[in-house]
Amino acid sequence: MIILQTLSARLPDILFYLFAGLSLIGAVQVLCRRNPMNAAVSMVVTVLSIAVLYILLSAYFIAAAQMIVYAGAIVVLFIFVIMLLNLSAKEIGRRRYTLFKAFAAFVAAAVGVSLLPGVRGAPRAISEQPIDPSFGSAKTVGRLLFGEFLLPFELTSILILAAMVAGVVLAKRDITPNRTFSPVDAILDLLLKSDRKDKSP
Amino acid sequence: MESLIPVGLTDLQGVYPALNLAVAGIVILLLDAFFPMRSKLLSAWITLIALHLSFTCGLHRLTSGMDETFFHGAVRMDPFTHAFTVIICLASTLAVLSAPKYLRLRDCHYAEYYALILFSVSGMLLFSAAEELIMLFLALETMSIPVYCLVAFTRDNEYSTEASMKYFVMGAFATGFMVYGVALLYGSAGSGYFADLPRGAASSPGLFYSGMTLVLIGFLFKIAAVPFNMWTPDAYEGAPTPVTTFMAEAVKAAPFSGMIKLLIVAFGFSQAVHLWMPAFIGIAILTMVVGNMVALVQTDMKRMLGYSSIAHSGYILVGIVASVKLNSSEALASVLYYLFIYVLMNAGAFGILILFSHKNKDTNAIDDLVGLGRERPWAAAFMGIYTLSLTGIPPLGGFFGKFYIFSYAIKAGLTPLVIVAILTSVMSAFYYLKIIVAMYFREPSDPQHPAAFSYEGYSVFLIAMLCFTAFGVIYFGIFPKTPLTLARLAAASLIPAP
Amino acid sequence: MITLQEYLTVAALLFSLGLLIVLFRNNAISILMGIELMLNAANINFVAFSQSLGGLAGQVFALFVIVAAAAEAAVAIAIIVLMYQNLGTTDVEKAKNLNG
Repeated sequence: MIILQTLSARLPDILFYLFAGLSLIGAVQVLCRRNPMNAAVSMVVTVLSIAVLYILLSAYFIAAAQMIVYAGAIVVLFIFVIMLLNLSAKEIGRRRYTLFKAFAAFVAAAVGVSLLPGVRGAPRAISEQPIDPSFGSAKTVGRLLFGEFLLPFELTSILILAAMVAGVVLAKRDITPNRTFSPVDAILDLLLKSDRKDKSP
Repeated sequence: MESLIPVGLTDLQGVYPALNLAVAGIVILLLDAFFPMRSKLLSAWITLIALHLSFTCGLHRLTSGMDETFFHGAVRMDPFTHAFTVIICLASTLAVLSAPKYLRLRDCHYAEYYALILFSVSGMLLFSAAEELIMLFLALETMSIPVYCLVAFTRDNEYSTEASMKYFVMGAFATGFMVYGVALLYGSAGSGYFADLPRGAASSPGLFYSGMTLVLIGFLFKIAAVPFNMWTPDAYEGAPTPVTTFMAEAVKAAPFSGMIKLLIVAFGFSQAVHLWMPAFIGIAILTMVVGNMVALVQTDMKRMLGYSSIAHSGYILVGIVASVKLNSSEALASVLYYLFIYVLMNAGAFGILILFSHKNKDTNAIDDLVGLGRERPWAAAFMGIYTLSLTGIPPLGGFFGKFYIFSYAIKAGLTPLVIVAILTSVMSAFYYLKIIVAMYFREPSDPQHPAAFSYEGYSVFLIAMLCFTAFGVIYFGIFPKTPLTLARLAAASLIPAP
Repeated sequence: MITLQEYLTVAALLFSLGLLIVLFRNNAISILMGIELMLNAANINFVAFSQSLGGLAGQVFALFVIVAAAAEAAVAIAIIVLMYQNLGTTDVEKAKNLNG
């Protein structure tokens, strides 16, 4: 009984260690797995564990967004491309071991270690209870999005539009329209005589 | 009752230069979808008009000294921002002017090109206006993502595909550093506004300095300073030449705005920023030395100009270090002036390459220019002006740009740095002169068949661009008063006079 | 007792792992995964700080980063497909036309 009580009291801690560990294991798997499919599935493990961490931090809306966007869209896109291009384990699994890479590993480790002083210097602890039950709900986050952060929010629309256009331009084979709006062309031909001789057939 | 979406007309007017470009981009996309036309010149004209409107708006605001914040302090429109609006719009206009004929030669003259350029430029303008970290990050993304696509715009060209991949990896890597840095800065200060960051340095210095370092590393990637420049020359070489022009100017100039603003406004409040100056000096030295040394052995013009643009980043870094050390707006004005001249002369040099590009082949090798002086004296003369200005020969703009920066650096007590800068400038003369020697003094290896210099890349746009840049390099070199006055006005808004 | 420090440590480790993936893997898709992990690490920081500071701005930042990551991934996937079509590989080390 006492064990159960302590367990339930320490449940958030246990969950944290479980899912933090899972997310790191997933990331290590992405680094080490030769098979591309395994790497992508490990990535799913990582992003879903991170979503659980968000819930522990009472960021419910972000957790949902993380699951939908990362696990639901981005990793699925990766898997789709791996299938589409039929990448073999040999193709995707090669790793580079050179002196430069050893140096790079050193740099990565150095960055990781150098971030730790920052971590230690972090002043505040996580508060036990959310300040407000609506903290992190879609409503409160949405209010901020359309209030204080309106301009960044609108900017993301341009960002997504640009990414969409970029994707279409790169991936679609033939983007020349098969019909043209000829009255405009006729007027333009009159106006811009220099362009006439370069018309594509 | 409070309105749900608290935005007023004044806010929208405040970000007019960026808004105008984004709307123009959408208009181009819609026009192309519903009224597709064979000729894409209408899109080009819309782009040019939109850029011109933003340019004049920036210039007008700069002269009238407008200084306000909009959207709850997310952006601040001060003279410094206006100066960058002017520089970025100018650089993008030059890049757009060089594009239409080249893209038609490559059979990829699509309206999407102009839309992507406009989205990217609107990102840049908001980037230089950002007063808040997340705004800065999103604007940076809006600026970079279209460029990844533009690099691969000649879609069946394997070089540009490879360049695009490499450029993406570099760019996204830099973004990763930057976001992590932004997260740490937010954690230390409790808010993303630049004005609140001093609080973070006081309350949790460990987080603050880790974050600041990571953000600065992200910026150094973006401006291709030397330890972070790995694939930049590849990207410059493989990209279609008009896109290279865009990358070497607008995409290069814009990160400087954010970097200067962060260094001076957000980090410069304490002496702590001076702790980073030795690192900056080291990076500036490395950038100048490596950029110029590697450029010496290049045979491909685009690649050489890529390395030379890395070297020019080094000179600009010298100017930034000097202005942080002196805390003087005069020194910062010299940086802005240098950026302005750099945009002009670099655009011109790429323009000449575009002028002689063929149907399916670029004219990029230095050997391809042999005999240009005899065959096409005008083009050779223009190229001569640009290269001499890039070298820093006296009456031209490039000389005064370097001269102002170096003199302020000496004033700041950075004499060793200036000695390195001058030595590397002399070194750069060798490879720039290689171009002039090839054009005027070398005999073609096969005298029977001298290289055919047909103006296949000729278009009215390109000629206008070349004339303007050549005129600008000479005129603003001899009469630097107007741009310098404007630059001082802009710099004074960031560093108030003591 | 879990404090902010634990979350920040997990984030720092994830960031370093992402960095290692970008540096060590040759394949464009793996590199992209590494970059996504780096962004995720930053997001853990944002959300953890948001909770500890009691302000929601950090969560909004995390949301923006997710959006930017998705946009980046979309373009990257298009570039990877294009690269496979043109070069027959997704290995950035094998693409050596430009001597970098």
